[in-house]
Amino acid sequence: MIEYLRSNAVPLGLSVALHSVLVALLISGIGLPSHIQPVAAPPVVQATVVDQERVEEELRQIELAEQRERERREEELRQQQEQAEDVRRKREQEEQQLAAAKQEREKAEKELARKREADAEAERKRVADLAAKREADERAERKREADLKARREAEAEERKRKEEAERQRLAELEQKRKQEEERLAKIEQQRKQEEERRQRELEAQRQRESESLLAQQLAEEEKRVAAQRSGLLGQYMALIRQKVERSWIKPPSAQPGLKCTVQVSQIPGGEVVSVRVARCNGDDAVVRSVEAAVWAASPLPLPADPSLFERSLSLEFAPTE
Amino acid sequence: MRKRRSAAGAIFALFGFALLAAGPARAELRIEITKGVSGAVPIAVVPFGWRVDGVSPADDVAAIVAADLARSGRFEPMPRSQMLETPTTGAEVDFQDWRLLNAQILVIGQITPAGPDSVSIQFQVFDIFRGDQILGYRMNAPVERLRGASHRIADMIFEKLTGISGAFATRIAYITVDREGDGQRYRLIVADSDGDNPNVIADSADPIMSPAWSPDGRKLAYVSFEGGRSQVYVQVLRTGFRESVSNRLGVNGAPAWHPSGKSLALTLSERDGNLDIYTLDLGSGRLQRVTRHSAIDTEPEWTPDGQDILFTSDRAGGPQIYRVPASGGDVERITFEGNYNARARISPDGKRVAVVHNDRGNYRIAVVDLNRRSAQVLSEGRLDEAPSFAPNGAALIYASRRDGSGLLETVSVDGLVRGRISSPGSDVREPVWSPYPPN
Amino acid sequence: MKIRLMIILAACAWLTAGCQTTPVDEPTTGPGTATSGTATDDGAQTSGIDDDGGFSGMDLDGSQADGIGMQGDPLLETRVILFDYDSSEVRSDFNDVLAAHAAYLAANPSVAVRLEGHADERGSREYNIGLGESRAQAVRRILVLQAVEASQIRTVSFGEERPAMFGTSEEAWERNRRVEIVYP
Repeated sequence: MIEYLRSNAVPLGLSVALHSVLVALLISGIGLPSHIQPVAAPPVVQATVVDQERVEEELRQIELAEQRERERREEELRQQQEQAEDVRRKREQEEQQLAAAKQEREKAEKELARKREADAEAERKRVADLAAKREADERAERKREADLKARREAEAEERKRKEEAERQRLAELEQKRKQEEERLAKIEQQRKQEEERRQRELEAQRQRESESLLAQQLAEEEKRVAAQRSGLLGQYMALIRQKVERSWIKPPSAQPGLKCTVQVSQIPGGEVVSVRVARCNGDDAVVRSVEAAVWAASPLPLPADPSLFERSLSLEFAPTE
Repeated sequence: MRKRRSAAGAIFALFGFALLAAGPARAELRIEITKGVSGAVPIAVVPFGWRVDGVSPADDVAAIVAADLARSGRFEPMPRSQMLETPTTGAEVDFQDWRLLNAQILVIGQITPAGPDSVSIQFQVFDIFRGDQILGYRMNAPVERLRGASHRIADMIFEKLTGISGAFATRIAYITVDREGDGQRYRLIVADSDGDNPNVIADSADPIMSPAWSPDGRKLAYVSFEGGRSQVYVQVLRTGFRESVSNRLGVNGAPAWHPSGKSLALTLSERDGNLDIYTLDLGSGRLQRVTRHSAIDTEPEWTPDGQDILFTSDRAGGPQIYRVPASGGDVERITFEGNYNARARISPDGKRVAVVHNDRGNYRIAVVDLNRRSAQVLSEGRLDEAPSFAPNGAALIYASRRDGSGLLETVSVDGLVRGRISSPGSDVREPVWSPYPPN
Repeated sequence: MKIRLMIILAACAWLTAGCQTTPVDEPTTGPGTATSGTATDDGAQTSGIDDDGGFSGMDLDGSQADGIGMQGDPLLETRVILFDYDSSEVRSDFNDVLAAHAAYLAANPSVAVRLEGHADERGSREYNIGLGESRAQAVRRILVLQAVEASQIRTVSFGEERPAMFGTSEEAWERNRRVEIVYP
């Protein structure tokens, strides 16, 4: 094998270089749309490489055989020529020596010439055949290469076309998908709207029904109870207010704008048990006066409804005059 | 669903507080107190303990304090007969007992010897509801000044409880007129603010009028008609020494002290009898004319800053109050309500002016708010005159007439508290409240 | 004759007294007489505040000098001119009275007269001093217009301090709003 490689180094190198260029061209994607994804290329390139190696191997075999044949025939021709020279020289010697045997000789000569002519002719024919064959081989090789190139180009073209088609198909697919989604979304929305509308109508109807009937009665009842309670509560609060106001001896420094909040605790029975001034913008005299007002108002009035009694009161002293 | 909840919310908001009050999670009730009474605070002034051997108290300190507080109208002292106990030290106080008596404030004290002729007065003021001490103080006083010391104590208590400076330790000057035979006797008297301790400082068969306290409270200026014509005198109270500071031909009247005490504003007449306002420098005797008008310009009163002079003038017909810079300048009318506003006296804070005001035929004391220019009538008589502010600005004293005789009345500037100082048998007039006593 | 003499004597007495007490045309200014704790010549008495007071001085003001003999002339015997409320205008019903006094004074240039202005008790005292002074001046102007020498006339206002009638009544007020013509 090494022997073989060595003996065929030059054609092999050429072939390798040529194919390398082709491969490189394919890999670099010259003339291909740039958006073709490179990851799709390697298997194709790989296949090409395998194929090409086989072709190259065949070519190499053929070339080697031809070479050997050519060399062998040239050697034969050279030997034949040397033999012919010897013959001629012998003949000349014989002509000189054997004039008489001319016929023989001529005949031999003729025979020899004819044979030589035939041989030459055969040789020429063979050389011509050889040349023709080689030319044909070369033509075939060129054609094969051209075919190969064309095929590869075609393949690349086809691939490109296919990829383009695929891309287009995918794009179309995507668009269709989107359209479909939109359509679905629209449908969903309509569905929802419809649902909501129905829900609302339903709700409204329920509302109308409930308001006109049960809830209305309920609210009326609540109102009556609350009004009654708030009336009593308001009365209770007013009683407390009046008693504290009567007890509040306003010092002269208690001017409009005064605001004192007093936290009061009472026990059942109305007796005040604690008075705490939470906030007050008045002076000492004012603070003392509001405290005293609450203490002096103790026991505080009781509510008509005992459930309204409140242990904790917040009194806000805010004189308006 | 949401709508139903909001409907429930509206009901809840409407009757929310009622529901809250009724519900298990109760919030405290909020009650607004928008008015009070202007009544008197019940106060118990317990007789002070007297620990001075061999000397009986000349003056009942607690009684004087209680009377002062009562006179202010803001306190109602408890009669001693109602007191269940008479503590003189804090340890003896049982607040619960005093609460049962509905007292709010308790004053106790004791007097102990502090020297040959002086005593130490210790007193405490308690908030009966809180059960804590509001004020505690000890002061020394000469035995013969116990009355003055009592007024001081009343001042301290009053200020602590009301936030207003007390004016019980101040004095009043006034004029009395008594008929004597065919003629009359005019007296200028200085007394304690409660009318006690009256002292005659000038006395004449001819009219005495227009007393005016010097800002330091040591002197009085007044007009006397001794000899049948008017003169302005300045008299030192302690010594009785006096000098005539203005005895020009015609009218010499209406002296008013500059806040510095160094000059007087007064009324003088020209030869044609026209009255105008002048200022008189008491040191140099230099006289400076302030107003120049053919109308009656009189009754000057300095503003507290000593820059301007208020005065009465009938330049617009009836008497009204005007203001003019003391150095002269544009005259500005101040009173507009009614056809008669005279004798302006300005409050210590310079914000109000008390005047004699004709209120539908009655001469009454009104207070004019200088900012709002609104007048509030404070007195109720037919012939009230001569208003004078207490130095704390909280009350006015003025002269009124009843049954043909003059008497003095006091009124708080809010018109709510009234008092009366009468001097039986005397026709009393022209009260002037002294400044705070020098400390 | 006797009457005339009395008048002259009285006038001299008054002038003397006047010169002693008051510079007529050039009023003094500033501090004047100083007294201390004693009764003054003018009949007033002052006290230190710590004194007991109550000391009564004697009134030396000789105002009893109605020695001018004008008896018989009802106009001249009318010595009080009355005024309306808060007014210094001389009412026309007193024109004759004032004319009589003016004639008398003009005829007797050595006779002096004092016009005392008064007011009723209503209103403030110093303003009433002003009112009394205005009334006295109003009378004075009328006399001067009727040929009385200005130097014969003195005015003084007592305001409401010296009522002619005590009491709070329309009648008292009416009688107290006046100018008294005093021949010393």
